[in-house]
Amino acid sequence: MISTSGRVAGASLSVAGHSIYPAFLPIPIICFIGALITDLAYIASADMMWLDFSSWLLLAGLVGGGIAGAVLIIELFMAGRNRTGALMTHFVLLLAAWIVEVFNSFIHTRDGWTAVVPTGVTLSLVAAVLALLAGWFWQSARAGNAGVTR
Amino acid sequence: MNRRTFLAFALLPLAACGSNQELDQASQYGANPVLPAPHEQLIADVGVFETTGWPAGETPTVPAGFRIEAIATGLSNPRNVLALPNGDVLIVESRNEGGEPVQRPKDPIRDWIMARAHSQTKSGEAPGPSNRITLVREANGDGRPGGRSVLVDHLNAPFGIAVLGDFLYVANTDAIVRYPFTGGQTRIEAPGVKLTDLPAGSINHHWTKSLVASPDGSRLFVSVGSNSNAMERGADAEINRAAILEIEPRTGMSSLFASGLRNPNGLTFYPGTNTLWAVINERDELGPDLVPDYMTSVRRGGFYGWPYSYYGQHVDPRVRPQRPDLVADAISPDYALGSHVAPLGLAFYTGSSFPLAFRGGAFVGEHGSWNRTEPHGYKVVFIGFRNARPTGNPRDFVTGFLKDGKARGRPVGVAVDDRGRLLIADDVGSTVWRVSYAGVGSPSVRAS
Repeated sequence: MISTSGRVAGASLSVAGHSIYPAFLPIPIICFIGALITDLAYIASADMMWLDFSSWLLLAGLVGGGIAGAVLIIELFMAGRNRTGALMTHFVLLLAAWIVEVFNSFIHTRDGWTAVVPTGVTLSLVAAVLALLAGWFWQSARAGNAGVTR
Repeated sequence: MNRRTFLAFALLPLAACGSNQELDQASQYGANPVLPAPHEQLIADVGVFETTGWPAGETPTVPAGFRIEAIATGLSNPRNVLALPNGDVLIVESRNEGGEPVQRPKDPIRDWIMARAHSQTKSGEAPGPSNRITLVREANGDGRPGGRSVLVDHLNAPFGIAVLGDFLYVANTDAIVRYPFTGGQTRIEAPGVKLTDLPAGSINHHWTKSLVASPDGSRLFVSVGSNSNAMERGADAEINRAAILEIEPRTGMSSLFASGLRNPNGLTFYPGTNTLWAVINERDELGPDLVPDYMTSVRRGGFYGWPYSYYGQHVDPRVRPQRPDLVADAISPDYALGSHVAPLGLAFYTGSSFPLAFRGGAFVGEHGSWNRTEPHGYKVVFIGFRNARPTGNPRDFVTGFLKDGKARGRPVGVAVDDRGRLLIADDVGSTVWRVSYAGVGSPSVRAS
């Protein structure tokens, strides 16, 4: 049962009292960082297995991130004027990481070295940094919200 | 001015801004093709065409003075054809069952696109029985096809066939199998005996195994295509692949004859020589004008570059680890056919019923491109030979397979029959075509 809760300022979509968003947000962050690591492993070894890992991690991150983003957009609308600057910064960073990884997924379809070097791993690095920053600002947004509701 | 030319002029100002300059096709024919720098797009160019089959009464187009007719229709994926000395024609109907394992997210997408371009039937219709050899016999020697029988059934994705001595050798995708066979036989009841295994396995990407016997009958030569585009399935998947193997027909002993040939097909000895020729499908996804497919004589022990390089020492940027030691010895092939034309059949003209200019020349069945928006191939071309070497540009011989953006057929294997007529297996069109010279008018073939 999906409902909205007013635990934090604004509102969050939740199932049986548990917020949906925190369950999905880690997926893109972890997968995008993972793709960077497997890209580096591919550069070090030239073993195609690592390129395959990167491709699947990018896809998983895009799917998980797509769900998280959809939930976040709804919550931002529901929050209306109550949305905080930190939450908007979080959203923009996450969206930027997601868009970078869409392009990166196409680069990663190439059959070998040029799937990663130089463009692929560069985009993986950019997206991983953006995703980590998005996580950072998510915590700021939560802390800020907690302050408001307290 | 036709519509396409008009469009080209209308878009000229735009084209000048893009980096994707259209290369003159003719610059990629012959011994020294122009090779642009590799250009890996964000999304690989794809140009596949809905398959419709041939409407009743319609045929491919042949030059003036020639006649084309179907000798067998309603076949199930006919891929290859062999003419016997007694006039019988063997047609290899073949379908590789089972998909490749999914390695990356792109694989199911690519498979779906490829399946569209190979589909023989409209959705909903079940395909007919395939993986067999059908024999077609002329009824009264009057040039009209007569009886038809299934010579051998229950094969495993066969492609190459050869008659040598009292045996018919069939190159299934996973093994060469030998059947007792004498000319005139219309049905083989005896079970096949496996001569030797061929590289197949769970991926089996390029699955067609072309087969030919040496002129003295002492050896068989079989082609094995690569398991990937540019070794992206790993080196272990490519053992004895992208190669031509030499096989002793009595014992089945096999050895590597030549390597670095990405997907070789159409194995044929040049008439009157001991020189083996083949047509090769080169690699994809380096841009619409790379890498030209080619026809080449094949040297014993020769290495032709794949996957590390193409056309001699042009290094493929995708393949790691690099092998400069191998690339240093990579042979540049004899004759470029154009990029992505997908040559799958090769036959030298050994007959005498076609005009003199055709004697000793090569017919190449070009299945047609997928990795470029503007189609290449989808026709049978002719290349003249002088002193057993190719000369001049390929000329269109049988065309009309693509029409109004739909594929009515796609040519694959070609052969010359006992009366010097050209036979063409058309897999998408479910037909085997026969081209004869009507002997009237002045024969001409259009430059492509």
